Amino acid sequence: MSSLVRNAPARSGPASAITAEVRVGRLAAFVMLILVVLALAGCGSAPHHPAASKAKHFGGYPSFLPRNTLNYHSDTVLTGTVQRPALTSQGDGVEVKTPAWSVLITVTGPQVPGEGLPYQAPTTTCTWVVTMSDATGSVPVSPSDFSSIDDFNHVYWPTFVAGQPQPPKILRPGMKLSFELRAVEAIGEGLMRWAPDGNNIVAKWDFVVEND
Amino acid sequence: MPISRAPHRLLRAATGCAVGVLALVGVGVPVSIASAAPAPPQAVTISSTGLKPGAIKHVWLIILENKSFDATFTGLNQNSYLWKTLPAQGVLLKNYYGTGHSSQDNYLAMVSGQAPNEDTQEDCAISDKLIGPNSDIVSKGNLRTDANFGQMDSPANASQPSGANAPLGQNGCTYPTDVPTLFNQLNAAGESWKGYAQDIGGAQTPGSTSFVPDTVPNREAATCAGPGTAANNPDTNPTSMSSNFPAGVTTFTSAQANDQYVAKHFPFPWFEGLTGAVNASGPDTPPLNEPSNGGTNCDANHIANLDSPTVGLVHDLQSAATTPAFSWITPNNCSDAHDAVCHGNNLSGAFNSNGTPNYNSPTPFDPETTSPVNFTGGLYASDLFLEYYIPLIEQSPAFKQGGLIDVTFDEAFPAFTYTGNSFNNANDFGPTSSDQPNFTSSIISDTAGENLFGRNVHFEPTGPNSTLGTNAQGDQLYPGPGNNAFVDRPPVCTQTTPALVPADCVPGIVRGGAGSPPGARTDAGATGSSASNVIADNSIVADDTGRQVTGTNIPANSFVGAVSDIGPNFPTTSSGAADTGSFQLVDQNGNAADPTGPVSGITLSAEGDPSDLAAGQTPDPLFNATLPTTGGGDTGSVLISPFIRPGTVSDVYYNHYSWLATMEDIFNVKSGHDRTKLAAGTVSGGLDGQGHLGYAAQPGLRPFGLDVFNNPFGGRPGPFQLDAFNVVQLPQPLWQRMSLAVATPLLALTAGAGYLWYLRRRRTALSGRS
Repeated sequence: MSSLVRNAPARSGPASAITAEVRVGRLAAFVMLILVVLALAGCGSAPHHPAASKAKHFGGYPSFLPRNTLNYHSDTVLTGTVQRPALTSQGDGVEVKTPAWSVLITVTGPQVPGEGLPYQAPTTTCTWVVTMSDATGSVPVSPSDFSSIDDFNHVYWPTFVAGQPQPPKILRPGMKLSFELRAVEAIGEGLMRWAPDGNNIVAKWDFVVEND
Repeated sequence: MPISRAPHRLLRAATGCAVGVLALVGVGVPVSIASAAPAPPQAVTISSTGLKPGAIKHVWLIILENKSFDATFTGLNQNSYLWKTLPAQGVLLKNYYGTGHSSQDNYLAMVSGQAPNEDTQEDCAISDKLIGPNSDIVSKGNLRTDANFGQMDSPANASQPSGANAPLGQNGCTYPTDVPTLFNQLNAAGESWKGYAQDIGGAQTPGSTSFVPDTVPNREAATCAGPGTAANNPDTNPTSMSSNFPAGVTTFTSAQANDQYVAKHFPFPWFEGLTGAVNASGPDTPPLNEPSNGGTNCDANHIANLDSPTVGLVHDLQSAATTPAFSWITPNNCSDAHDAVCHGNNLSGAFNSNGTPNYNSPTPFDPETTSPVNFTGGLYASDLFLEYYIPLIEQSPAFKQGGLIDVTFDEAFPAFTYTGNSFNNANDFGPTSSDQPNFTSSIISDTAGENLFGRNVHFEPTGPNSTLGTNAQGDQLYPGPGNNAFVDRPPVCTQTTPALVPADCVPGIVRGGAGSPPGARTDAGATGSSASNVIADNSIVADDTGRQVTGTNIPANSFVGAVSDIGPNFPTTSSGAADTGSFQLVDQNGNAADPTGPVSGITLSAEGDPSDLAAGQTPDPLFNATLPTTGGGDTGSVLISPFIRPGTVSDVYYNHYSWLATMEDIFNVKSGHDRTKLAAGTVSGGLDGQGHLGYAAQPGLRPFGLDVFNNPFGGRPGPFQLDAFNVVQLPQPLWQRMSLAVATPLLALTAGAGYLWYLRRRRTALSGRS
């Protein structure tokens, strides 16, 4: 007689209870075995975060890296005001806000000639590119509103590059413009500053004049 | 059997079974469960780094250019990835120093432990000729008897009046065969390596949308991507670095639009121990050794374009087996933050509109085939590079297997701190928010730092070729590793023809900051009074110290004493000062001196050589020729690894020599098989028998330790203790070393087995009754 037939009449009796216990025990053992297998598998490779920018063929980030560091955030666009001028690095945009208008402005540079020469002059010609866009009102544009200062507190007043088209004196909503400024400055660290009213600085860009 | 007693029986059964199973699997049982006495302590020395040998299996070094700690890790720039993200993933070394100025000497020191000479300090601007033969390596004695043991002593020094510090162009830049490198050591230890560089063998030209191979055929065609044509060799046919360029080459030492690679930032071609030596008739001396995995040191499998689809970084990251144990990564002169405005692609077109890297268009994993949206360089460009490549490395199988990413800089250019202007306005977040730069940071841009015998020190060995010698008056005759790059000096060598004045100076290499000694200057805004020896002067800067001060109510023979620049101020007018400056008025002995009445405007003297003063010049009575310009400045460094706790910081002083010692220890190069005697030491044993080359073998030099590898068991707690610079792992039962993920199910399994055993016995008993 098979065990099934043998046990069938006794389902409601003590033997039935024993069989149920055995089944529960087997089930528990099976579940635990699965857990062990999973745990052992977990030892071989760390659990992965969902990749913020998962690379092809790669398996995602290792678990020890903080999740909040895995998503790229582009460089911060600072807000610059008269009360709190923005200080950032060249190449980064600043949203300048005044009571009358706001504008997104970026200063890039300086570009310098004669890099890598055996003799490095203590000063060189520096050229910056200024880009302005997203104006919400009439934004004044003048080279005299820009000045740079080096790490010895020397102040330079760049001018439009000769021969280049002159930008309009006012940037209006919907317009985008880009122009170059030039000055001869000492090599080393400096700040380009913008004071759209000619006096009150609202944004500063850190740069390095480097000609090696 | 009463059912009510079953739980007790079950507990006993499960416990007994668990003990049995644990015994079967050989797990040490904690005292709380079993009363067995622990085994006698058997301490195991792990390594100087605090890691088990072989724990770190892969290292990626990404080296960037010319930024100080102030400029990178304190929020001056909004370079979100380098400043905010990466330190949050690993450890930030706040006091990691370059070993000299300018660039190339740092790269060479990192891989060989060799100190600078004037030519390597000036980025080999004249010729890549050999520094000298093997016989010019300091080979007599040992590290205890001669601190320069194993250093290359430039033979050009012999012709100098001083016997050291030959002028630019006379020293050479390439080391002879008996100067080994880290890569020779890896060869001998059976570890794989590769040098990746952007733009080797091709680049994307501006305006094009595809990678162009061999854009400038003879720009880096020399062995191991050295400068010049394939015919270049430093022994008999060195490449001229400043003239007579091959067709299409406009510069070797700076980027050009169609090739932004610069050989001065890639250490491999500057060592004949890797390239071999060539004389006029052909190969003369072979390299010290060749890679253990076949091929040659300079073949395509060891010197590769970063983005090559067949031998580049992404190709190699696909599996741990194809990833070298050590990867040296040199971004081009744009992506390494060197150029403020890039001559070519800055990778700005390789990102999606939401800011995530675009790894698939137009050519998979080749960001230089995208069209840049701008040409901004500096830390903006280096952030793009890091944001593109580091996620790939972090997701690679090799990194998870035991990887270490190291992002560092070669040297520290001073941030805008002389006058306090490099302070940030975004210091409310980030792991280094408390790091506020101050005026002293400007001095750090030229200083050295390392840890000897457990003590942080602000010096490093200068080597035989860039000494800090002074004349009888205390004037510095030679620039030292810092190369006087950013500190004004009392000028010497004021006369070069028909004779040198002073006689033992070296023309052209001792100069003030930016190449000229300070002239006279009037600070019209300076104010003071007889009530205080402090003069308010917003134009005063740190290296004005020692200049003579004249003006109304200024006593005779007064000088600028300690300078203070406090900031930042945020000037609201174009003429506003960015800091609040002041200095103490002192006499020639350094004692405080009070003005005799109100002060309104002062004049600072020009400085001059005490032995040869020109009209209007004064000497600097406070000048300390031994203090500044001793090193490459504090660059900071960030490292990421499973063996490093995210978001941690170390204040210990390290430099490039410490870095080399760390790499040598991580890969246990002293176990290598190359014990052939060199002019000094051996490849595998180094100079100290412990596998350390050059100044990495300084007695007492501390490599990165538990302050860096602060998670030495890779996330698993383990008892350990510091023994000098070694970590000693204490004896520990396997039970305690098992992770919770393993221990819990194992316990559950044994309990379940015990339960089944109990049920089986009970059923047998019941069957017997029936």
